[in-house]
This record gives sequence, C-alpha cells and structure tokens, in this order.
Amino acid sequence: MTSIVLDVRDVHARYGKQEVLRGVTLQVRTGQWFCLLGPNGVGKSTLLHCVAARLVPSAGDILVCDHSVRTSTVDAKRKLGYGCAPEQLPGLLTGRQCLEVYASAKELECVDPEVIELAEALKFTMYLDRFVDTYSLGTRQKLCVLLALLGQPELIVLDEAFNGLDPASALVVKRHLQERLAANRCAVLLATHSLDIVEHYADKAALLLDGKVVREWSDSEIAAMREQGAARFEEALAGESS
Amino acid sequence: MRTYSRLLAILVVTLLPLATQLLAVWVLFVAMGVAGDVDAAIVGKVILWVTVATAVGAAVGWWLARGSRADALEGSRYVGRVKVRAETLPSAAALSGWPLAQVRAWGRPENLRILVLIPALFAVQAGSSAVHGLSVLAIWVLGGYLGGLLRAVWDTARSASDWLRSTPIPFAQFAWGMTRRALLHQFVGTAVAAAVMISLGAPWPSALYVSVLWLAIVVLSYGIFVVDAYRSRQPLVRLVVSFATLAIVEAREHGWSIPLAALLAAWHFRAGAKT
Repeated sequence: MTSIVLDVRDVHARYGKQEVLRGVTLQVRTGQWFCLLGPNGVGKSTLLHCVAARLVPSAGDILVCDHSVRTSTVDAKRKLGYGCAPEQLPGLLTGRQCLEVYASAKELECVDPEVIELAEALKFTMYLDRFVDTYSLGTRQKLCVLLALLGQPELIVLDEAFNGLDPASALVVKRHLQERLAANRCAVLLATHSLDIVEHYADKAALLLDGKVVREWSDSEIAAMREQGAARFEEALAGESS
Repeated sequence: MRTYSRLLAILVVTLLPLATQLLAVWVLFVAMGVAGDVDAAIVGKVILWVTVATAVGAAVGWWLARGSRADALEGSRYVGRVKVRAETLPSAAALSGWPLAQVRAWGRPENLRILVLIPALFAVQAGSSAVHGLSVLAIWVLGGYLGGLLRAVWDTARSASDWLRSTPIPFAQFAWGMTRRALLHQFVGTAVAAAVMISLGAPWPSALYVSVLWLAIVVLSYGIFVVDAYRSRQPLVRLVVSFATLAIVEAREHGWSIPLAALLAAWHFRAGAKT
C-alpha cells in the first residue's frame, strides 16, 4: 500500500474578494502521476500555489507528507519540489547560480548528480553559465524543471511544465519522471492542457471547473479511454466541461 | 550595389546627427564670439579644436565597434559575462550579487546620461579646476550608485522572495544573502564619498555626520526591505513611520537619529526572524 503524499482537504482560496477555489478535495499517492485538467482560469495554478505554500488557503488544509502547509510550512516545503513559472526566474542570475541558490535554499549538501545528468540529457549544460534573461522559453522551462527536481522531493508540482519544450526534451523529462515514479520515490502533480500526457503517462486525472473538482478518472478509466482511441479522452473532457 | 547602399545608410544614420550637432556647436560659438566681441581667430581656433576632437572621437568609436556585435560582448543584455565554472555547489552567494547586477542593469548609458551625467555637468561651476570638477562628478556618480543600490535591494529581494517562496529558505540566510555585498558596497562607497567631500573642503565632522546618517538610513531601509519581501508585505507604512520617527528625533536632538535607526533596524530584523 503506497502512502498519501498529498492530501488536499476542502480547500478554499481567494484573491481579494474573488473566490477561486471553492472546496477542492483530492489525494495523490506515492508513485502516482496526477494530472489536473480544466479550462483557463478555473483555478489550476491557484491550487498548485496553495500546495506549494505560495498562497495561504482561506479555508481547508493541505498536507504534504503529513505536514500541513498552514501549520508546518517549513516541513511541508522540505518535501516539495515546485517548478515555478518561467517568468519568475531571476533574469540577472545564470542557470548555474539559480541551481546553486535553490539547492542552498533547500538546505542541500550537494546538487544531485541525477539533476546534473538530466541537465546534460536536456542539452542544458551549455546554458549553465549564461544569464537567464538570454534564455528562450524552452530553456527557461528546462531550468524550472531542474529546480523542481533538486533535493529528491517526495512531491513534484509542475504547472504547464511542458509548454515551450521541444518534443525530444519533453520526452526526456517524461521518462525521467516515470523512472522516479516507478521507483516509488515521489508523486507528480501536473497542471496541463496536454491530453496526450494524460492518456499516456497519468495514473489519475481530475477536472477542475469553477474552483471545484467535478470529475476524477482512475488509472483503469484512463487506460480504457486510451484503448478506445486518441480522441476519446478529448470527447469525455469536452462533455464534462460543457 | 547592396553593400554600397548599406554603407550609405550607416553613414547617414551615424554621421548626420553628429554633423548636425557639430554645426549647432559652431553656430553657438560664432554667436557667443559675436556677442562677446571675441577675436575671430580665437573663435576659429576653438571651433577647429572642437571639430578635430569630434572627428577623433568618431573615428575611435567607429574603430572600437568594428568587428564586434553588441550581443557578442555581453553575457546578458544588461550585465557583463560571468566566469565559466565546472562545479555546481549549493550556495546563496549569487543572491548577494543580484542587487549589484540590478544597479548595473539600470546604469546603462541611456539612463545614466539623464540621471547622473547631465546634473553632474551642471553642478561643476565654470572656472573650477579639473580636480574639483572630477571630484564633484565622482560624488554625483557615487551618490547615484549608492541610491540605486538602496532601491535595488528592495526590487531584487521581492523577486527573490517570490522565486524562492516554495523553498524552506530561512530568514537569516535570505536577509544576509540579499544584503551582504550591497552593504559592503554601501560602506566602502560612503567612505570614499566622505573622503571626496573632505577633499572638496567640507569640514570633517559634517562629512562624517552625513556619512553615518546615510549608513543608518541604508541599514534601516534594508532591514525593512528584506523583512517585508520575505513576508510578502508592502514596506511603505513601515518606511514612512520609521523615517518620520527619525526625522522628529533628529529635529529635537541632533545626531540621535543614528542610534535610533540601528535600534529600529534590529527591531524589524527580529520581527522577520520570527517568521
């Protein structure tokens, strides 16, 4: 029996007077690739911000490896690898400096060799000593993924992490994540619009609409739809959204 | 034909503004000579030297830019290249260089010419010695740098806090990382500015007082900036209240604002460390 890495309990969140999340509940277990789906503006990124302790929920609680992000924030953050948005990266630091600062912020004794190997596989090493403000979107995205994977996090949170990545690099990242999941070393929570990822990689998926989870798909349901053809999931999603 | 057209276009774009400015300077000197009833030979000599200096400057500028692209010279659009290294080791050292890089990014020539150089040139009185002029210019440039560095810590601390929010970075590491080198530059820069002020004839107690007061303002501001950036708060109210308190105390007891600023900074840091 795998353990629950992420437990989202009736979470509400708001920006000013606007309530974005209205009671989201979901669980992610070790070894699971969980995809969060939904149209633009329904609260996917807001939910990820709450999970990553970037935004305090107005009600409810989130447990990361049994640590509440509200009351044991630092302990929860230690278990977490969050892939920030590319525009949040510091333009006046180099890629290597970003990795060093992030590793230091995560209290690591060394930068994981596995992450350096992934950087080589992504052909990112040639950009390590260049400033982030000279990077393309895809190169920034690679750095965001590398930062999220530092320190062997038990929960990897990625927001549209494959946007801007070339197909070869995207495949390298997907396979790397699959290896980590297969070894039961972590769980992945990914907000995405890419149904291809859901169909081929996800173990579980949820559809978020108007700040609530309106539908969840289990591993077997996703596999069944994969068998039924390429557009099956797309049709199911369109049906739920309408 | 295409090469010829390109060269002509470059010459028009680069030389036409230069020629126009030179013509304006000639007209100005001639007008001044006529108004001041100056000997035509002297006016002609001045115009000749200005023209020669312009031609030499243009030629040197052309030669320096030859064979190099602007983006090939710099590692960033804004700041210079960093050393290529073989190892990647956990360290927050790069955080301390971020505010300095930000000031350099702001200090591009197109900003500096307006913010520093023009006021600096107007501040040098006619008839001053070269040393005096350079000292005034140094004070302006240094003041601009230290002022920019004061603001840069807030901007970069806010960005760094946003970027590192999902990590368990402790407050002390964040605060020390963001302010270490900026504080060092502030201390060294203020010491140099004090020395220049004294060399310009300012009484040393006044120069010392101004320098220590500036450092007190810097320490207090940095304290508020890093605490509020770390806690995602706006610093305006705390800045206004703190500096109003300093101003009231300074108006009543000359010099007492300095230890008070240190106390307030310590109080703000203590609040931040509790996070």
